[in-house]
Amino acid sequence: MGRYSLRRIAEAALVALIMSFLLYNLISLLPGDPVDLMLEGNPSVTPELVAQMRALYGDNQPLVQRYWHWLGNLASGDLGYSSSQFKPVMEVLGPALLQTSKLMIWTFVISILTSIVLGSLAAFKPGGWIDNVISFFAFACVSSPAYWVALLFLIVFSVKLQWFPATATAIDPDMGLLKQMSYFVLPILTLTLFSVGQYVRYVRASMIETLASDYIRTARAKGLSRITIVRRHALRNALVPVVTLMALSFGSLMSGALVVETMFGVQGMGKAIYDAVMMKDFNVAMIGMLFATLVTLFASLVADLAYGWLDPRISLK
Amino acid sequence: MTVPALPTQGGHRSRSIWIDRWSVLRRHRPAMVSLMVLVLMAVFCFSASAYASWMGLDVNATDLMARFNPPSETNLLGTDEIGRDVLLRLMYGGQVSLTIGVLATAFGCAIGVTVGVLAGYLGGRADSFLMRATDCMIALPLVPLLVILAAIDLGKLGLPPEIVQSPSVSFWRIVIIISLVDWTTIARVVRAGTLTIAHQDYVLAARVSGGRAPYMIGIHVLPNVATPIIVAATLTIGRVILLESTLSFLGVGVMPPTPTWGNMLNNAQELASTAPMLAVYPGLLIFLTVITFNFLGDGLRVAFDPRSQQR
Repeated sequence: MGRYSLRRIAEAALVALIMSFLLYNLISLLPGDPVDLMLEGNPSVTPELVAQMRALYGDNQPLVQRYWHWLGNLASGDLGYSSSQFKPVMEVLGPALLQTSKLMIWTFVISILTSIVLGSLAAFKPGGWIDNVISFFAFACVSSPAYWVALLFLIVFSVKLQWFPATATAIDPDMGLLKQMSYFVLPILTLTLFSVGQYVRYVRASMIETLASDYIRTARAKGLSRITIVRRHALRNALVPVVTLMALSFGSLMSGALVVETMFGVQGMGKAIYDAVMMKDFNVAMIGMLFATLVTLFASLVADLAYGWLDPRISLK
Repeated sequence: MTVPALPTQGGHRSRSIWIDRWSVLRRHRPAMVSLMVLVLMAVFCFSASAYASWMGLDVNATDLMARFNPPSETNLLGTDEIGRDVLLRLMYGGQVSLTIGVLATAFGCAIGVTVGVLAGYLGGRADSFLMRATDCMIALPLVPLLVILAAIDLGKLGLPPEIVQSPSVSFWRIVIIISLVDWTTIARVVRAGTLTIAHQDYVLAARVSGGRAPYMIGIHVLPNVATPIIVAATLTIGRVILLESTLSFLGVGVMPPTPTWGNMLNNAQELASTAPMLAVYPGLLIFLTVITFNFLGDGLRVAFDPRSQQR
């Protein structure tokens, strides 16, 4: 177990390094370059000044060297400077991370609980009307464009009914907690619908398989109620394969977050990345993307290691 | 000496496996309804130019005197914020969205099948390298990655300026970037299929008889992984249409005035309180198209699963 974990962690670290290099390459292909952007609209620019600036920022060096330089800075805790917001990247992405975590954690908890309940209900009688309704709902969730659902929610709940505020940009920390929460209801609801659709189908498929096994028949023969069977006997086994899928879906949750945050004006990571790409803010885009990728890598690592804990039959070599 | 013809057993005529599958699919009601909806949708979208000439409309003709017209005999769904016919734009937009869906899926399949077959057939180092690469691709958040890819300066890639500035570049860019990121499901499915096939006895026999890799892949592997590819591709088309509409909605996809369902919604966003219906129609069509592709894919999965073959 110990050796396997170590190897798996080392592997993940190597992958993370390679990914950061690829992302660095990708970001450097965005239009414009940092020096041009800095000197844009400045009338007293001479070609010598441009050359000096380039030398200062190392912009004339080959990409690999610039990457090493950047990586060295990163290792010493220097994330760089945001060219669009004129403050360190840390101060741009720190608060954004806080907003996104609020959104993600709520979404994750609500959608896991909902999908366990719905998925188990559907699995009781595959093909029955409850299953059909729940499966259709799941299909509808994964098939609707998240931004469109957000737009409809805005039209119905914010414009017509005026139950919830439309944009979270108006949030400030002095408001009461309840008032702050009201800004998050619609984004969380949209993001939850988006992920519940996927999870329900995982839980349902896994639960149907588990409920068909012999020990469940034994439990049923003992006269246990269906609720008890699911809760005490089936749930833990049915959730083992689901855990990995959920961990891997973290990346897609991040994708959903970009859309939902942009729609509802939540100043989170997704919106920060989107804005950074639009404003050609290389440093913010780079760190934002890298962070989102690392979170997914980390989640799948944890899921891999949790496997052995959830199911002792799996021997880790 | 003549060999007497063997009597067919039990009076059954031998049937092609595809006929069996079709009969299973035909009993899968959601899939059949979806198939019909999709055919209707394709007819609806691709009759756009016929409809335009019949009604005497032009998809990009603006008329500022006829903004936000309610539905009428000439404009069946009314007009948008600069007086263009909404129905006609929906039809043309659908053409673009469906075409991107099919093209990007085809390209993505090509990448996925190549990666999957190579990984499954070669095995060993090549397999673990290719599958690690696939895992990396999955770990990247899709939409932010696509936003970056859509914003990349093609000039920096060394493409000549006449290509970079040509009007169809935004269309092809979307097709290519989506196919570059959305091949992972197919690669995994194909690899799993190839692994099972490559260890069957008849394949080993063909190998010891001197079958070379291209022959083996073409004759034995690909036909046997065709069905999971078809299922995965059907589901991929739906996802691609969603991704395309998301990018166009975010303003980094297909550029106006070419209509797509996504960029029509982008326009409608600012008009949410004046003309909410403009936001409803394109979204409804995307939803309908994607959900039907998903149901069809699900039905195909059932039809291709040997365990569900009832005769």
